Amino acid sequence: MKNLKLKIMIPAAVLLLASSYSCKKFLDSPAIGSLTPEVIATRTGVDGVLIGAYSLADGVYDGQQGSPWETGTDNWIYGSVVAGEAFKGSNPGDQPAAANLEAFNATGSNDYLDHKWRVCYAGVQRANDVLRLIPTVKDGSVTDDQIKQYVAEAKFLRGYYHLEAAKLWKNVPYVDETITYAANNYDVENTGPIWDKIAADFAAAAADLPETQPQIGRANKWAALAFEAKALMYDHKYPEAFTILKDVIANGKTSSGAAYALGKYANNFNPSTKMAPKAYLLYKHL
Amino acid sequence: MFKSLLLKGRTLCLLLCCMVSSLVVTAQTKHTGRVTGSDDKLPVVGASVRVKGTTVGTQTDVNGQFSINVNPGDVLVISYLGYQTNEVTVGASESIPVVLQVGNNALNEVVVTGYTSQRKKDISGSVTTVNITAAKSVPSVSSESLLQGQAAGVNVITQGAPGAPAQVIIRGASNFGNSQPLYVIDGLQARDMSNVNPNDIESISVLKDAGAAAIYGVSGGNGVVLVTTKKGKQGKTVFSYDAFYGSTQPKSGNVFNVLGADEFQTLIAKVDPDNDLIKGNSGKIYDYGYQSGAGAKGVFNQSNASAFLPNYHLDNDPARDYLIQKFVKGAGTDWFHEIFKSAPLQQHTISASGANDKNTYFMSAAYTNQQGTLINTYFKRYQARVNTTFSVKDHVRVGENFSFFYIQSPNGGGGLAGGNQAEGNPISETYRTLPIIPVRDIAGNLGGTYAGPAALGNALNPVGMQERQTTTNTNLWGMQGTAFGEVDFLKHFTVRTSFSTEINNRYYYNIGYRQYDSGEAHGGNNSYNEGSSYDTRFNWSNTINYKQTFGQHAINLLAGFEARKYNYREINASTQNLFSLDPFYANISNGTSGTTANSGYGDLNRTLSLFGRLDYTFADKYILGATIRRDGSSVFYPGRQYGTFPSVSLAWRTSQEEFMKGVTWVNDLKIRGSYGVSGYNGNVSRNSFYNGSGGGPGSSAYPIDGSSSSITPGYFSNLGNIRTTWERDKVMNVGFDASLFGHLDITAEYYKKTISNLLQNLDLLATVGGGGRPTVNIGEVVNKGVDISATYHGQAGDLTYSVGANVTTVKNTITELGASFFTTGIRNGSVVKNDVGTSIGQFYGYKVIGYWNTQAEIDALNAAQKPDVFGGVSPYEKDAAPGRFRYADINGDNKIDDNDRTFIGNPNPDFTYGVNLGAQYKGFDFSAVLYGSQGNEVYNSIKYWTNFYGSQTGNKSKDLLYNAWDPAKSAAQNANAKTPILEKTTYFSTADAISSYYIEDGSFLKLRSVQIGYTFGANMLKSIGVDKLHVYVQGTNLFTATKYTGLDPELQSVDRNSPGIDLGNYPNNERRFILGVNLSF
Repeated sequence: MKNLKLKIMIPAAVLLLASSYSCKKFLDSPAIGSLTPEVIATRTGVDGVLIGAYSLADGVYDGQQGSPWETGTDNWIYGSVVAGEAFKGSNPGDQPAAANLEAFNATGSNDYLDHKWRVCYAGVQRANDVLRLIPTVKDGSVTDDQIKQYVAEAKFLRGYYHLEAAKLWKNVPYVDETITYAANNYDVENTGPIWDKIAADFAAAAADLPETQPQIGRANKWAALAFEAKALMYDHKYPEAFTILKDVIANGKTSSGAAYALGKYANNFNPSTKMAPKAYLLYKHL
Repeated sequence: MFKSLLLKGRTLCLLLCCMVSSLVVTAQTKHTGRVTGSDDKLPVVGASVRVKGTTVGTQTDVNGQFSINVNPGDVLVISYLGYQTNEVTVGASESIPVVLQVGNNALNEVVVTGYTSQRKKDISGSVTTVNITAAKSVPSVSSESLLQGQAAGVNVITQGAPGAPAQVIIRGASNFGNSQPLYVIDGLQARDMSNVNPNDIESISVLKDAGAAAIYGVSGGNGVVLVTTKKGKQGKTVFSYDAFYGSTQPKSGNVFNVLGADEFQTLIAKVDPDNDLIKGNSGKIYDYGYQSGAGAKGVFNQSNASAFLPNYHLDNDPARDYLIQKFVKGAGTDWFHEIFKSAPLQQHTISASGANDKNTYFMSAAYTNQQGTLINTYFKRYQARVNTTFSVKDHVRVGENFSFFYIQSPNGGGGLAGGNQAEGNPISETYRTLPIIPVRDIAGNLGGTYAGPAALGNALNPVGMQERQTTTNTNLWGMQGTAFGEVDFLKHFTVRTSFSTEINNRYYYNIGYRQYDSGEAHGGNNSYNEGSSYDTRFNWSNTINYKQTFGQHAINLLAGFEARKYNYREINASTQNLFSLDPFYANISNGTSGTTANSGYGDLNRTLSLFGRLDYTFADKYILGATIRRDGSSVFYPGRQYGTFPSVSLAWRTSQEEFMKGVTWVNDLKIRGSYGVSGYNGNVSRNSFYNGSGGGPGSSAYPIDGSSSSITPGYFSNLGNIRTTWERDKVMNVGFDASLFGHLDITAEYYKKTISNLLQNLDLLATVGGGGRPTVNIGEVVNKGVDISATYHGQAGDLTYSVGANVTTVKNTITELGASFFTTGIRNGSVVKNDVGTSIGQFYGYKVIGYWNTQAEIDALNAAQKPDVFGGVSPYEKDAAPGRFRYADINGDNKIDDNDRTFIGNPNPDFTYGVNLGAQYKGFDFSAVLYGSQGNEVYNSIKYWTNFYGSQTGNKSKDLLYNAWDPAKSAAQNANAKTPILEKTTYFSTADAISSYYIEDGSFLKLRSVQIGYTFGANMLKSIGVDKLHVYVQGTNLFTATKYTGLDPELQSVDRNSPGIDLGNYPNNERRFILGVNLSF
């Protein structure tokens, strides 16, 4: 009898042990190597996401489709090569898509254009991420003034990336912070030009941005105004642009406070003069 | 498996008792006998000898001998696993010789199935067992290659790099990611079976349908491979030594059909007279090339040599280099054979095993050293195993399996610099490097593309690439093990707990040399890289089993609980500009500051499961199997975590029916069918449902304060999908198993496998942002096919022989897809398009219908073109010209554009097949294994490099020089031209588009191995104390029959189930000759 009890108890103990294991929250998986939306909802999180949005200012990021020279905002391929001031070089078998752009016979299978398009909207959505994240910050770590400035910088960047796309394709979708995967509304139509929306983003940014920034890499009021004028010029609204540009030329200064100067255009691309007062938005290639 | 042992143990006890009682009770005459096997003529140890109709019995000893007290006229029943039971009537003679015939009724073997084992005749699902003896006759370093051609329904694609794993797909690619089956090794749900010593394997069974595999639920969707390792067998301790030594021969001849140096000179003189290599030298290539770090470069002849040669200098500082090489004339450098040399392969296993009635033990240790035919590639493995079981009481058993391995191999995958199937690996560089370039320059340093004009191209010296692998070290070590305890209680119940774990470690450190010989990389930095990763897996399974037979009803019920966890971490570091590359000096700290980069990664997932199975047999005729499993996985969002996977299978052993008793040629016939659902979650990341944010210096950091030395980190968000859940594999299977005429075993099955809810990282519209794409359940793939295997066993006098064959067919169709997508991008486009209505991995591009023959036919088509909206007129086909490709106008709109691309080839074979031949005659044995694939097409991207002068600078095909389209020839002659017209540059209408020009028939038949051996009889060996000695010679890959023009048409997938694309592949059809020995004492 004693033996029988033992015989039942051992298996019972094993089963009990097994079931106790299942009671633990075994399947609750933390995000690994990734910040969840709750964790990032702080002032520093918002700033980090904003910096992430700035980081596409060069039009390049790790993990993008395509190579840096296909998507960079220096637009070497779409500006210099296509315009004829630069030559792609090498032999035709090397990057045939570039040769096709250069020869004005790019077809639908030319992936350079696809990659450039993607990077532009990656930038737009990174800027939108900032706008979507701000309302979720509930820990009191961000003041109203800071919110105003973050929103302004995000709108500046959203305008900047839209402008980059509109320069190449003209009629492009305008994607604001309500457009998300979760809402399934991201198939945005592109029925007409969006210059007005781009200009509006820059205008909103200019309204709230300070004239100088503690960090030179951040956009200031004058950068936003200069870009607003640029968008207006694309929209053929020359009088409005002229008004703004006069103001920019007369009073504009860089984020560090140096007055804008119309120096040599080439200075922007010369390492020794790269931070010249002409540069209204500074960025460095990483 | 354990239960079968247990049964044996019980029988054994019974027999022992009988033996004792027989001694006491009887006064019969004592007879002795010896039992030998018909196959190897060796004594059968531990065979059961029983007097028919009684409980009297005994067992044979280590010499196969038994003694038993019986009366003349009694009938002895002699049985042993794997042999036909024999009945012998006792005569007057006191000596009874017994020969047991090899069991030709494969239906009686005990097969390991999910969480249990069953006699094959009781199985109602689709389970294929692998003939280990035949499988082992093809030497395999990575053990999953044992499956090739040995199991119907299983496709195995191998490659030749030392130790390289094979790709295994059961019943067709089932998704767009990982289609690898689940490997279960002695109960451990393992990463792979690569490092299980083939000599340690007792059996392999493959679970193919849901009836068999659904018990593994979430992990069983791609099929399950169950590996059981050896345990000690009853009797004295057996020591054995198995070894072979062989030599692998590289492929001979001009394998890529490329030009010699003088021919190359002829080619450039013809097509590119301004080439700096010949310009101003009356069409001859100059004698020397040089380049200095100061910028001067060019060519000179022997007559000017004295002005250049003294300048030669190789320095640590690239700016001070002055390198000179002497170009090779005549046949030129045979780059392929500069890096492919014959290479040795050896493997040694020693083992000790045995058992008494309570405990079993098996121990083995092995050493494998495979040198690759590609110089400086190798795979060395040291491994050991200990398997033991102990019976504590009659009803309590404990045991363990434990194995350990340590591997040294550059890159962990043999040491092919740049990896297999890559345009930058040394195999590709053999045709990309000009034949005029010498292996060594004038001072004995590496020759290459630096010392001379840009016309030398940008290839890397293949010899240099492999020589630089000598300081590429990767060490892998790992262990796999299971510990279990088992208790019988209340007569019919057994409860079992088993904990299995696997740990794999990888540690690498390597030096990246400055490639001074390379025109492109000459000025680069040296580098040093070091890093490590490890992964752990465990599964803890607890089952309770109820087994009872009432009259004609046999019931086996099993219920279980299982928890699994997988964890992975890695860390990598690299630095640059080391002062010295002495391997004893080089480490991460010794690089130049600011060049050190780190990276790391982690992964984790957990699974929790409940499962049950019922096996019910009525009257040994009607079999019902049912399984159900409920799995929860941490990779899905709460609420979507659990999936339930049921299956049911039925079988009818028709041969047991009365009406079949008269049909004597049918020994056994079983008809079976199953339907069930299994699942798969291998194609989803651990963070799939989080809208998580990530970062990284290259992806989201920005110098916000304008200083590039202190880059501010930032974050970007990925897209999560909380709706993601299981892939579901619905599998229908019907088939039969038959044993006919006493000699022939046939299994044939038809299946339809519908994989729905396919997990795909859907490529969304760009407007959604640039973060990681969500994993979405979208898409459906249907695999249909037939698996047939047949084995015939025959005997003619002293000759016994067997012929086995199996055929696998898979028709794979994508029936639903979120969006079609391209994979496998190469220089001139993406080769593969996955779309509804096609098979996974089909090639997509323009269809070449011939060459343009005259300008007039082009002009006529151009004249019919209409202006576009801007008023411009495009030509009918871009860059069309005589001698270039004429593409098919697929959509009939009278012009060639992107819309005329179509599916131009299919890498999936119509069928694959394996044939095993075996024969024994007296002491001699013979075996042969063939493996073939029929109807698969290959995209030969090598032609892009070799068949067009303008594609990239490199060596070119002889076809381009001798068999190109030629304006001097007639249209009829040109129709057979092997390449388009020889031109300096490439065009859309030549090399720049993916086209059917690159497609070749990849069907092949390989004679995988032929082996002849001889077994020395026990009598001959007694004096030296050896029980068994078998020696053999073997040739592998003695022939490959194929029309494919590349090295080997067997090509592993490079990108998400896209096999059959040749991007520079290490061939696995090299000849090898082996001498082997199996010794036991």
